[in-house]
Amino acid sequence: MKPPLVNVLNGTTFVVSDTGGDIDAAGPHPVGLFAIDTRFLSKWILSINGERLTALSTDDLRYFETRFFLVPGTGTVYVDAKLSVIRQRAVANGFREKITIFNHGARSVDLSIRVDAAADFADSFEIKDLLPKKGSHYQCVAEDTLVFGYRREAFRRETAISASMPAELDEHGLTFTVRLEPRQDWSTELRVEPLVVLSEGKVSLATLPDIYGGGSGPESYESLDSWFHEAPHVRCEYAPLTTTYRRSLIDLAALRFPSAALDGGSLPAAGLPWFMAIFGRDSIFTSLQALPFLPQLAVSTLHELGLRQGTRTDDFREEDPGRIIHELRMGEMAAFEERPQSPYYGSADATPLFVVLLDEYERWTGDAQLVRDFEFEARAALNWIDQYADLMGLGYLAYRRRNESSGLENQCWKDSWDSISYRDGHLPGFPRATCELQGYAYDAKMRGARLARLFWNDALYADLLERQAGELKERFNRDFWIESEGYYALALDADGTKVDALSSNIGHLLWSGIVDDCRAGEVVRHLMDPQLYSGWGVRTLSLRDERYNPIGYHVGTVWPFDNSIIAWGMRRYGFRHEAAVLAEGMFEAASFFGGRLPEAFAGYDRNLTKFPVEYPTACIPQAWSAGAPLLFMRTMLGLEPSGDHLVVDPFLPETIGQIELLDIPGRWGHIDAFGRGRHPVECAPENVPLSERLSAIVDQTPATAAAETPNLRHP
Amino acid sequence: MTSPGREFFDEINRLGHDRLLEKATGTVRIDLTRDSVVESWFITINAGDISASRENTSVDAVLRADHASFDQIASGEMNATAAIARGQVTVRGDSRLLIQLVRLFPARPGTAHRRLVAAAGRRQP
Repeated sequence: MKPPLVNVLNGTTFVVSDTGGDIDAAGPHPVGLFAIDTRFLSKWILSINGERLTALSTDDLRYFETRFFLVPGTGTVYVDAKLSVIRQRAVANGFREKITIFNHGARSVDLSIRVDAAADFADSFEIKDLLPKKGSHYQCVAEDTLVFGYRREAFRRETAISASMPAELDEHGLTFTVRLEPRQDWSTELRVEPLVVLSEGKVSLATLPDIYGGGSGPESYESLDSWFHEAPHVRCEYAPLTTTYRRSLIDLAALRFPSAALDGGSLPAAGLPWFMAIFGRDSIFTSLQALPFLPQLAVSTLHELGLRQGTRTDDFREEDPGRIIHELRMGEMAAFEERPQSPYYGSADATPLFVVLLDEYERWTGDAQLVRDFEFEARAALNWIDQYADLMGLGYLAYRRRNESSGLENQCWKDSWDSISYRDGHLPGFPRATCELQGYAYDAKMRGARLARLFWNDALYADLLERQAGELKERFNRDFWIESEGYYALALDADGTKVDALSSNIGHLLWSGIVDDCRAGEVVRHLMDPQLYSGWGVRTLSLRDERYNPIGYHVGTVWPFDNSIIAWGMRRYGFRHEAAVLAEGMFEAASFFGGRLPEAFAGYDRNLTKFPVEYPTACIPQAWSAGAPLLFMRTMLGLEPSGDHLVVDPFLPETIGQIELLDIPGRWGHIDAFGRGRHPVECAPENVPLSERLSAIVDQTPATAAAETPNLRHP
Repeated sequence: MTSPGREFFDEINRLGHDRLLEKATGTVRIDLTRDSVVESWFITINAGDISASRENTSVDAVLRADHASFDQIASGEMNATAAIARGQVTVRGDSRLLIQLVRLFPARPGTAHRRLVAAAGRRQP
């Protein structure tokens, strides 16, 4: 069983502790104070008169601020409750912690209050892969500050710890000697500040240039209030939806960190604790999911990824001209090129998805200027697909890593080593062309054509892209379709053989529009079949595939992000009922996680477990899991820009009842959307034949009855 | 005496304009150090127009490296972003401008030239 951990985060700076606020990295779990891919505090333990404390409760005040209520003693036998302690911790470019001790007793007490501290300066990759440090540590007490330091050549990081009350400092912590009278309290504020030490001097995270890709978002209640104020307001009696919506907005606020490319802009880090950095793919998907709610994320993402777009050919970083970055790290291993993330370009999907996001952003916002400003980047991205990624010469987007030592074998969203396999479990060779990549390439070309025609004044290019897209779709439907099974192959092997596993990837094809209309029903049937559908959502890999494992990262778990894209795709092809089933299942799952969907959860059948079982090392919060409920809401309400209008065409499960989504921002100003759940949707029916559960093909008429006319408030 | 660093500045002046820089405007000072001597260069970018000179002007960002490191960066043997993370090269000021500048440095010798992207961005026939 995982011990409960408490996360306090603000952008890419975060603290993971136990429920009492203590940090002890000697244990197996990744706890500590982290910033710019480095652990700046690996021990932080509070004790009173030599005794550890027991947590009574934890209060999550704001995402960047938590309060821990404690009493001295760890005994299961007896806890002396004459004293109580509150630790209040606020994270922003390091953290501040106010410790308050109350004497509830009738006698005065003499206290020795001790905070043991240490900093190992582990790189997040070193923690994940259990690697030793190569440089040297130092610590010193300088006047009223305890400093931990680490040095390897010119790479130097320090942690400075100070207190507002007089303390005795030694190289392992701080001690306060206090006499507390009856009914009195005492408090001090501790500051823990990560520093980058350069030849010119020490730089705090707050003043570190954004080129480091780190830092915290604004730390104020006003900022969070205005974040909420700008997002549409939801009214709905179905509590899991409103709770989840609110939690998603908070998590997306929490994960924000400043953009280097855009003044005042911020973009989301991908996920805590392993992915607190820029990830091209995650930023794009999160921005797409959040477009109807928080369009500013798309603006920052497009600027940031455009600024860092590849310009040269670099085999170590797998950079090509026009390629969109996969990941940026500024920790020690990236700094010394023991890992390639400075930045790393090894993803095959972020580049076409960049064009998809640019187009979708314009369709919602009408911001033609941004589309014109990014013509060069979008053309370079489109060019990359054909000039650099057609590795087999078959007209398919494929990948094969050029960095054999530390590059990613799989450069699609399922980027673990065993995610792409044949049904019998054997792994295909390289290059690999996974199916969803072809969908993204098709969509990028179609959308690129629209942009070229409407904004770049280049009809010839538009025609060319459309022709290429049409040819790709035809080719794809010929080469990937497995006639005997009735679904698309997961990938093509290096020699063009179909990799025949049944996977959730086929759902993304619906979203991209590359599926021939006559085949969409078959694809949806497979997605909703118990082989893939768990009762909560679509599994990454089907039960009958050899590598299926309900707790395998990309080979059997259920990913909320994946499902949100699949539901969007079902809706595109008219399968509104199935889309609603996925939406309802995911909101129900969210209610087991306090409204906060994890990165992934186990693929066990819902009837077996009755609740969504946690995936052992799932990131939480995770940006595109926080974005998933937003996209599900868009899908259920059938929100779709059409010219300067927003079409609202709801199809809601009965359980959700009525939704009012107020002040949806877009090219229309702000619009309200209403929907009423009239459709019985059963997520986990037992022993019901599949044919009876699948109704989309015949059940398309009731939806129009539920449609409400959009209410134009600010035309 | 010529060096890869010096050739980098000469190349900038020969180039005059770079499509990669059309969103950038500002000046970066490059401080090249050898012992306690600092040699400063000013790279001025104006919506894609670019020039390098020794003439002092107001700056938006500063990049500081010793001569040897900068020569390695200018010849593609050292990656500038990793060198910044390592503390071997230090920066301050406008990050956007610094990232634009870093994109100008070539890849490792033996790999294709970065100017491919200019062709990529050109209109199709």
